[in-house]
Amino acid sequence: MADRLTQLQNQLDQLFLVFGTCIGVLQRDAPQSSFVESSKLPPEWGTQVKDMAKQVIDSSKLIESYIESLPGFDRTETEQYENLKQLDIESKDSTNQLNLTKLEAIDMLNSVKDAIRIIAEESKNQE
Amino acid sequence: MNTTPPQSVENVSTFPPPPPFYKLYLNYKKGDNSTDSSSTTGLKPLEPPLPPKDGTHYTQFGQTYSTVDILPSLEELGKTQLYPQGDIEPIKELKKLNRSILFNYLQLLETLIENPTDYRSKVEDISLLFINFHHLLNSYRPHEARETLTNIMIEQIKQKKNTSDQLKQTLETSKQLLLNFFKEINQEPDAKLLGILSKQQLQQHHGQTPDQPHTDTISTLYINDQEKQFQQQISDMFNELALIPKPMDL
Repeated sequence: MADRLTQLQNQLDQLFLVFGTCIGVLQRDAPQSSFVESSKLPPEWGTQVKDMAKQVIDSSKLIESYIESLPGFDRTETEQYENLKQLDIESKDSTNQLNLTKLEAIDMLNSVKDAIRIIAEESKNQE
Repeated sequence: MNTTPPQSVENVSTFPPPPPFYKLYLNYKKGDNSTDSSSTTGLKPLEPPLPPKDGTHYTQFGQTYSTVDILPSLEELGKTQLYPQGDIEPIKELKKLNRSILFNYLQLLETLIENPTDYRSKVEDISLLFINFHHLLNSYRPHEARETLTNIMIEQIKQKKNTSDQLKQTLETSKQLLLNFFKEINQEPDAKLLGILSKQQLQQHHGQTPDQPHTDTISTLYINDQEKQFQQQISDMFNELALIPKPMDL
C-alpha cells in the first residue's frame, strides 16, 4: 500500500481524469439545445449528468479527507528530530533489556539441560 | 507436426554472442588470481567508473541525475506559485487548492457553454492548480519520510518490549516449575538451582522417591522446548532487525 502522499496524488490524478472524461462525454452525448424554452431533455441524460457531477464531487471530497488524514503535519522538522532522538534512546534501552533477558534465558536453558542430563544419568545408573 | 512458418533469424539473434571480455577468462582456473591472460589477448578487465562527486551530475540508463536531491521550486520550473512562500499551514493550503480546482472546473464548464473558444486560459489555470498541488505535496515528502521512520521505531520498540516481557514470563514459569520439582524430590532449592547440585545428593533423593523425577523430567523437557522456541523467535527477530537500516546518527 502506498503512503498517504502518494495516495493523495493518485486521487488528484483521478480527479483530473474525471474532469477530462466528463467534458468528453458532454461533447459526445449532450443533446442539442433547443430554441424552445420548455423543451424536455431525455430522462436518461439527466441521470447521466447527475452521475458525472457525483463522480466529480466524490473525488474532490475524497481528496479533502485524504488531506485531513495526512500524518504529523502539525509537527515541525525540529520536533520530528527531537522525537526521533528520544525514540532512538528508548530503542537502545529496550534492546539492552532484551539482551539481558535473553542471557538469563540461556542460563535457564542450560540449567534445565543439566538437570535433565543428571536425571537421565542417574536413572541409567540405577537400572 | 510443426505447422508454424519458419521465423526469420537474419536480424535478431536468439542467442547473441558473448561480449569480447569473455576472452579474459579463457584460461581461468579456480583459485588462480593472476591476470596473465589479459596481457596476451590485449584486453583489459572492465573498470568500474569512479563514483560521482558531490554536487555533480551523472548519467544512468540514459537519464541525467544530480547527486544532490533538491525539489526545484515552481519558479525554477517556470510556473507561478499560488500558495505563499515560507512557513505555511499545508493542510489549509491544500484544501484551498482543492476547492480552487473544483471552482475553476465549474468556470471551465461555463466557458464551454457560453464561449467555447476561450477554453484555453481556463484549462491553463486548472493545469497550474494541479501542478501547484503536486508540488506542495512533493515538498512534504521528507517530512513524511521522517514521520514513517518514527512510526517504524515505535513499532520496533513495542515488539522488543513484548518479546522481553513474554520471555520474562516464561522464565518465571520455568523457575516455578523447577522449584516445584525440587520440592517434590525433597531437595532444598538453591539460588543457582541446579548448577551446584552434586550427583550424590541427587542419587540420595532418587532413592527416596524413585517415581517422582520421571514426571518432572517430562515437565522440564516441556520447558526446554518452550524456551527453545522462544530463543528461536528472538534470534529470528534480531536477524530481522539487522536487515532494517539503522536510523542516521542524530
